[in-house]
Amino acid sequence: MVPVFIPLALFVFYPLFRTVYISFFEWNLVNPKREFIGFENYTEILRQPEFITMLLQSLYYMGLALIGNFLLPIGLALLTLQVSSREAEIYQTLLFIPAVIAVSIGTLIWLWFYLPAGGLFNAILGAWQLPRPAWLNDPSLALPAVALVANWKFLGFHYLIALAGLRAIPKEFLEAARVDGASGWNLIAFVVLPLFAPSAIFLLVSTLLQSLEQVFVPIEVLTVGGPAGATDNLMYSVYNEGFKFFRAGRAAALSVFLIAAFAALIYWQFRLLEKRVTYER
Amino acid sequence: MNARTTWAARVVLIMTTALMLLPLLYQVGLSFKSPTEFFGNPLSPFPLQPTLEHYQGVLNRLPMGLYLLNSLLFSGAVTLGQIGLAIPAAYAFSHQRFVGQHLLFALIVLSMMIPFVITYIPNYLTIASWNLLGTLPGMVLPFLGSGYSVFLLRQHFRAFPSSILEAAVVDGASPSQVLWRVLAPANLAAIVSLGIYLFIQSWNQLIWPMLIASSPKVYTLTVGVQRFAGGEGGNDWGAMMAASVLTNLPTIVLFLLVRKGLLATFTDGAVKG
Amino acid sequence: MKKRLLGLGLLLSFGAVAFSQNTITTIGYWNINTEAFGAPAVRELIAGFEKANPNIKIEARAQVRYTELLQNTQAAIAGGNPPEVVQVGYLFTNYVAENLPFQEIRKLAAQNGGTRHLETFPKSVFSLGTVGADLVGLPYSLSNMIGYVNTDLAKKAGLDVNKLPNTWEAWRKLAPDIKAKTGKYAISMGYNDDNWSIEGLISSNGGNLLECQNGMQKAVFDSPQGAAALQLWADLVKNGTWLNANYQQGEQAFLAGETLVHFTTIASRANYQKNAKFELRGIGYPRFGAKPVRIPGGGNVLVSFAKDPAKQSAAWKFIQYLTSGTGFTTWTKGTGYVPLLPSLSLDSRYLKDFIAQNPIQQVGIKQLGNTIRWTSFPGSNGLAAGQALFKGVQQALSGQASADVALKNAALEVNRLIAGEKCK
Repeated sequence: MVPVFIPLALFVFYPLFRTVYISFFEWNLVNPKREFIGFENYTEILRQPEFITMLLQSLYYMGLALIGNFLLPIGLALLTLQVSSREAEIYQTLLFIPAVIAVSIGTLIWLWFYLPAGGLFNAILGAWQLPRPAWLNDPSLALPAVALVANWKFLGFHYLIALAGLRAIPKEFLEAARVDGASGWNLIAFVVLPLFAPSAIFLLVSTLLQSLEQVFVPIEVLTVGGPAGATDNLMYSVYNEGFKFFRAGRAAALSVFLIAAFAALIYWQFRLLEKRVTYER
Repeated sequence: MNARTTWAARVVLIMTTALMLLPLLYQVGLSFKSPTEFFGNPLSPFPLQPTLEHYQGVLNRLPMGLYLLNSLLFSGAVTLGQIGLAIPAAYAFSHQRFVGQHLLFALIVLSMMIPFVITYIPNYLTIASWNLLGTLPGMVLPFLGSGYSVFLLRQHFRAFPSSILEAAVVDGASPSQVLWRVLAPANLAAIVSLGIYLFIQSWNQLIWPMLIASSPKVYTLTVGVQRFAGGEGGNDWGAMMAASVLTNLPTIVLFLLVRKGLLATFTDGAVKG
Repeated sequence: MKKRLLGLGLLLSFGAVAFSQNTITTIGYWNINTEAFGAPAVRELIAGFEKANPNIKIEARAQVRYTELLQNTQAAIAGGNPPEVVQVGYLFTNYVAENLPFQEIRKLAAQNGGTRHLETFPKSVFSLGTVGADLVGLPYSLSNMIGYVNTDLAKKAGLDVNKLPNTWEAWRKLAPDIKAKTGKYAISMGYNDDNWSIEGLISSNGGNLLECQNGMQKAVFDSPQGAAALQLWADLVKNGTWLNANYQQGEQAFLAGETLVHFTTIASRANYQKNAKFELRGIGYPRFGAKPVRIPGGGNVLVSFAKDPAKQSAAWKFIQYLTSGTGFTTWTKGTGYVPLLPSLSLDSRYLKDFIAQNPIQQVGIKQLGNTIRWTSFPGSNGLAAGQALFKGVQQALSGQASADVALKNAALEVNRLIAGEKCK
């Protein structure tokens, strides 16, 4: 039991404290001396309007994940219940394939899809004489374009969990409801979805918690946070500040904000889980 | 369910599946397209005159064999290390009682929720101070402790009846014998599936190995291909795609071989969680 | 359990041993030479060097952007494992001088018997790599921006390919017509966070990025000239005649026949001559009205961060090889970089014949007189300052803000970041 806590302590918990410590310094990772500056990194971050933009963009990513990796997989899972389980197995396997390849590798082809000229999407639009957007160079399109890649890559995973949750609903309930005359959308809306709620909560929270992590590599490969910061988010900015601008103190202070945001999400999850427990009783 | 709903569902599912696989189809297609066809015929994923030149080019220019070996060593070490450490912990949390159990388990759960990006700078400094930058151990060490593995195995171990384990103890078995002779073998399927999942996950890791791998000698496949795409191979789409296909192949094949058990394990873990 | 841990330890140490090296000195050469941007020439140079120095091995690593290259270098230095030879873009020589532990070139040369080699350089060349009293890096690559023309498209648009426009105003006027006749983009100019492209436009319109005011450095790119230059670019992006693209995207589009004229570095010449599927020509950088063309000299100095004497010696030998007559000749032929030593262009043992037969290369050489120093943002926030300007350019090009407003905001931010930096 003890051994597992050695790497956890060294590489997960200790970094947490060291991050807080570093956040009080101005340091470029290279200079042997670092300057203690108190809370200046924090006040500096809060002073800049970009911070709010970045928070909003983080929420935007979460919202898109909610559509692409929560609602869509549940919808697909509901449809899957309509076909035989042997057929369903084929969809499960095929839809899961993007989930087993490396995000970085999967993202490369999208780099080509999104080229402003000479790539797939604009070649299609050009062939139809439609306007050809600049995709990744356009601040209003870049974020959804990046999020789409993450949604594509992780859809199979979320779909699988949704399907398992739906299948865990005892058949007797469904049979009983059918006998009572429920069918089609009625069956889904009034019988299936309420019984599915506990799994849905799990899926919802894990979708939200993972959304920023899932777009991390697509951002790194497609936009590096640009254009003009339009695809940045709280999680990516920690990495960007630390390993691109070498403002270690500032990256650490952003980390503390990130921890706070995650703590809030996790607290919310426990609140929901409490409700789930009452519900199950 | 009537035939019409079934067909409507089927059509939507088939279309979604096709769209989902389309990027991979283009990836394979471009890897076989000659440069002329690449510029002249961008719309179709199918090459009219398939060529192997990009594969030859990539295999000549990049030490794919070395990257493959590094990926195997890295993923193998992470997988074995994580599982080796997680099994006893999962046993302790599922079938033993000890002081501070709840607190420690809370720490396990907490560790799953700490965003990985926070640990980068501190861990980079730690690994650097141990002189392990540019080495495989430097890449592997931070991944050894995994709350997720402990958590998932505990979920499976818990389902195993305590009475059987107690009976073994009564018969004179030590706790470690109980674990390795009874509990672990009984959950072999779950352990293997977790292992495969971890293996695929580590195979696909990019950012941390990229920070640590300062020399091509320790590049994993993902790092090597990313460095190639963001470096030498930028805009060389055929070569990039050939390298991508070669990197994806092992995980896709592995997945197709073991898909049933794998899919079942994590859906169990997820639903039970 | 113990056994398992032991096994794991063995596995890890096996990995460590398998990848540790023997007596050969291996040094890293980090550069920006992608396959499409001189990688074949780098391979040729390394092969030549390793043949002459069998006990030294060069590990080349390429990155797309100078910024990224510098960032990765700094990360490696932070980890105590710096690359031995790095191409540092001219825009980052100040940053390196002020923030990173570099090996001063004259000292490095003196310690390794290379003083004589340095004497072959004209004094003026050193200014490109000098900060204060130090020669931070040995100047290696020199480029400037030219226009690459797809003459097939130019003819389709009804232009006389021998008399292509030479002012931005003329291009602006022609652009909609080109688009109507060809259905393609008239212009593209690759850009990224090194701000090379925007500096050329602003300077050629009579502006500057930085100026010295009361002994302090100040960002002045938000001048009316600066704003007008960026606004011209943004207007053409908006009317769909100028492709909004970074270096790689612009290159891709041009080679795919999607743009009539593509402005980028002369250093891409070899790649375009090799890969263009149309008749290719080169034109000089356009003027703004009657104002003189002032474009930043692109390229890099070779900086060494080698720590121990064996690696320092190997690094110097490699630098000396790259900057020899043979090295420079391979370099210019394989990329398009303008020869840094003017004597090479006149010497038939080196580049004389090659240049005579390559009209596109001549365009770059002719523009040497219009080259200004690539602006380097000072201080430890230099990297962030460059990003702030880049952000402003992106905002203007995407229509989020007018060029004037975007540059004003960017200048405020840059001046905050470089506050208190004295002129050098």
